[in-house]
Amino acid sequence: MARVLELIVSGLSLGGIYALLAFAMSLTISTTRVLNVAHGVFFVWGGAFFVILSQHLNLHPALALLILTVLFFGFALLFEWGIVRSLLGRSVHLLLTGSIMATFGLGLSMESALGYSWVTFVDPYPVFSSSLAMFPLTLGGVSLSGSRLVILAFVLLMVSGFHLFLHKTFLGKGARAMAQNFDGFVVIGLNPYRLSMILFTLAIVATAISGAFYVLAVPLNPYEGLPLTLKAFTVVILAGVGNLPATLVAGTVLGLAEVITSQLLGTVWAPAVSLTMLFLVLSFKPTGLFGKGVY
Amino acid sequence: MRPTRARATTAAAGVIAALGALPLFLSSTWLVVMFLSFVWLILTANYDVLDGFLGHINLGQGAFFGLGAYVATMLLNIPSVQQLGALTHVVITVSALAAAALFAAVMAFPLFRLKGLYFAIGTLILIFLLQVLALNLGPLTGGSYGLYVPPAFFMSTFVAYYLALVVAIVSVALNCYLSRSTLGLAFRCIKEDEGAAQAIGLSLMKYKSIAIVLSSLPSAAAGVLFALNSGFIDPNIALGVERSLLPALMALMGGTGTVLGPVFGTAIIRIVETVFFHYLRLPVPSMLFFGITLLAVALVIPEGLLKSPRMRRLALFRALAS
Amino acid sequence: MGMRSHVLGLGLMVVVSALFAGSHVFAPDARAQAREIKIGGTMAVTGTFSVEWGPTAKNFMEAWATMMNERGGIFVKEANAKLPIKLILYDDGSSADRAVELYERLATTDKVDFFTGPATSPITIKASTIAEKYGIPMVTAEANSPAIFARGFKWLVGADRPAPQWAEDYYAMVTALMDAGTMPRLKTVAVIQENTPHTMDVGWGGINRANIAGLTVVATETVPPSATDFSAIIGKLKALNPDLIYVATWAGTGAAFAKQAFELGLKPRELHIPHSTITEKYYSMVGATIGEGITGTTHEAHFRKGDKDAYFALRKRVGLSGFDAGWTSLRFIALEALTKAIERAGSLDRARVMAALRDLKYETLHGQLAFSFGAEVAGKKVDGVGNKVVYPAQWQNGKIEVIWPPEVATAKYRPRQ
Repeated sequence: MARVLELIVSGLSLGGIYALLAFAMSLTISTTRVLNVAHGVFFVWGGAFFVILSQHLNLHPALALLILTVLFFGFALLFEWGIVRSLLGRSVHLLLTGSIMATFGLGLSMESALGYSWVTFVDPYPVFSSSLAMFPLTLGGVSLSGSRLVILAFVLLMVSGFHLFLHKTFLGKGARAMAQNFDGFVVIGLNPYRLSMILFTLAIVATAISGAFYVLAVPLNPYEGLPLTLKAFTVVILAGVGNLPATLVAGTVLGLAEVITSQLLGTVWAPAVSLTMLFLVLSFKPTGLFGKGVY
Repeated sequence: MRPTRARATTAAAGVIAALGALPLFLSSTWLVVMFLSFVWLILTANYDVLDGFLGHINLGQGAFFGLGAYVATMLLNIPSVQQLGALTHVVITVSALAAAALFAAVMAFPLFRLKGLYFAIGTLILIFLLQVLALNLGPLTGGSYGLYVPPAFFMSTFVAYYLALVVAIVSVALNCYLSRSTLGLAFRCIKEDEGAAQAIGLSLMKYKSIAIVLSSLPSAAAGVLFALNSGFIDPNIALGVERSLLPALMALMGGTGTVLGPVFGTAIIRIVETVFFHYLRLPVPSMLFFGITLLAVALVIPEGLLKSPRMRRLALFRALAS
Repeated sequence: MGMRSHVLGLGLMVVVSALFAGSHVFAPDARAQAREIKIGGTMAVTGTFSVEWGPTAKNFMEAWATMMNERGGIFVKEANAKLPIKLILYDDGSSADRAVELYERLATTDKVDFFTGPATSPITIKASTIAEKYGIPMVTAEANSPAIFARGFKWLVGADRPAPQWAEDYYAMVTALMDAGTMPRLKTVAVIQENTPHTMDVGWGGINRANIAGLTVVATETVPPSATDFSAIIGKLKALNPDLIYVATWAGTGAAFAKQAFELGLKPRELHIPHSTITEKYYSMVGATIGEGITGTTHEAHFRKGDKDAYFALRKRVGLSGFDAGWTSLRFIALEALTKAIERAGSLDRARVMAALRDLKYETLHGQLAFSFGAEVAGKKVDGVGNKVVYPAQWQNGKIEVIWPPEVATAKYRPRQ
């Protein structure tokens, strides 16, 4: 019985990790219509910088996170100005295809830049991992992974934080309005560009910070960006694009499926089953588990 | 003045003749580069059947390629197939094409219930699944160790070049045919407005299935050629996600929905890639410049080369786009 | 608004073009150069495989060539002179397709005399096929999967001992230590292997050589490449309670496993992760609590034989310290073997150099290097495999110590808690 509970808990905590990956992407696609292929690369950069700040420069983790926020805030502004605004100006339809191409190139260059810089300036092995939040935990005979619980806690915090933002603040309500009806939004005289910029900046910072939490449990290397983007994408779709709380549920469903498969068929089949399950869900619910929710 | 169809055909014939004569002058390096470029062109042109004409983003185009490569190689490792003499190549090619077409036809049913990004993910899942199967079913596929093509069946790059050129011409011709035929018209009606298309009596499932099966065949053939020339495949080489994502990128770069878009898109990326990896000798990695250049190109022509407003000002490009 | 993207895009292109023009794009002039010995290859400088190899590998090989040229080059009897080395290395970006294009280029355009090996099995398989096609001797360094050497190729040798054999040394050590009483009596072993060719080979050894130490294999678990969640496996192993867990994965995956095992309360008496001592980084990835006492294997040691001074000087030159990037010893030995073969052949004729390579026996960093032909490894008949051994090592006090064999050990094995 304890084993079953342990498996369920493992599944839930794995789900937290998947939700961590997918959250910011769901936010971005639904509000700004930018498909950021380099999402995973930002995620990895967040993890990398966190390791540099907290391990190599020995800063307190909270301070490291703060510096990370500032750094990526600046980076997001640059990204927004350089790429998103340029494409937005042409036509909104173009934003999707143009952003795919542009972020693909951006992602490739960013990952090579990180790989090369790390090996040249930091240490010869470009893998980022932090042992900060690692502690064994046993509750009622069930073993829990401390680092994953920390991640789960952060994800819950992030989801509720955004929920409050989207429902209680003026900007947040504007974001929902924009996602619901773009033309109506413009008609009543609000500026979609500025709001997009704010949302996008928030999303990128959230992505980087998520990366920082991710490396507490799982090591990352510069070239995992694209696989992570694809993984995030699958979770987003499973949840239903734009439904932020659903990403947590979707992540959990995937996590549980993988852990149970590992137990019954062997770990090597876990990816296959979660993929098949996702495919089946899509076959029966073509817009994801919770549909195209507007938060 | 708009070029007549005759002039366009002559131009096309000229290009094909030039490409046909090239191998006599090229070193084996360039033969390989061109052969691989033809493979990418095939994948991109096939990708565009679903994207440009039907409006579905297919992130699993590489699945047909990989299936073709694996089926052919797996068969070649069976002694009874090896001993068929001249028939061996026929058997493996037909089997590869059949496998890909069957896969496409079967997958059409669940896939086409999805739309837009959801469809894209559905196709992406398929390629991931195939890769996992290739990795895990060791006794059948060689697992992570991969599969070898028996040396007796190696195809020289010289021969592979010509065969790939033929398949590439077929793929582009297919898109050309689609752009001028009622079948293609049906596709584009469906792309514009599915409801209206159904209203005028078009069976959505029938046309979409035709499209996906058509787009699977040349890609599978490309997979067979690749395997025979390469001599060795593994789950990354044959079913890696790049073979699904790059065709989409190349089609976007050239302009989706145009006949020559895939040609230009493939050319742009292959040229940039070759220049940076074969020639650039800076201490900083070539991949970095490759990425920056892609980004730069994307910002200048986000609609794709043949659909970009500044390019359209040149009559030449307008003609090519039609 | 549209203008902005155009300006930005065009600006980027100008920058790239300027850098491009400023680089050494144009081939060095072919003015009367004394005959050079051209050695060429590709390396995974970027891309997925570059984590283990990367720019460091390229820099190390280039530093080697510089050092050799500072010594005047390689003496070639036919030319009655020392000829300089020209090393041509390309980045294959971890892509087998690109590696094929580039090896063809090296063979036909750059017209190199000899090949070095790339990174990873699949790319080595493709590169060696090209070597075989053109009859260009190729000496690989790390590639040690029996499949690569079981194809009856005549132009390929590799310095490294085949991976399935790594476990032999480890289990021999285990037997000796158990007999001496230093290691507690172990009876059972569980093997975890990552589904990539190299790690599956290492895992094969873990499973099939356990009998050397009298151990019974109670579980064999295969995980997907770059797996991140091992909770099901950990649950199973907690129930089975094996004495030894043999984790045949890459370092990053091994770190993920070790962390999760610790958190979920799996504490075997012995934890052996071969790739955990292949980089100094492993310790900081998992932290001291987990890191202490983990055993692994390393290519690197405080070598006492051969051209060790030159070797360590080279490592220093590219900024490597301690046990980092241990495969440099393999690269060094591979290039050194090629050098010796050229000297013994007395000419740059490929066939003669290849013959010299096949018969080569000389003393180097780890002892006598020789390539064997016709041996059987993991059920395959292999030709051209080398004998550069790996050394069981252990993390002690935050440092990697070689613990076996006694001749090269820097410390004695210490049992975990």
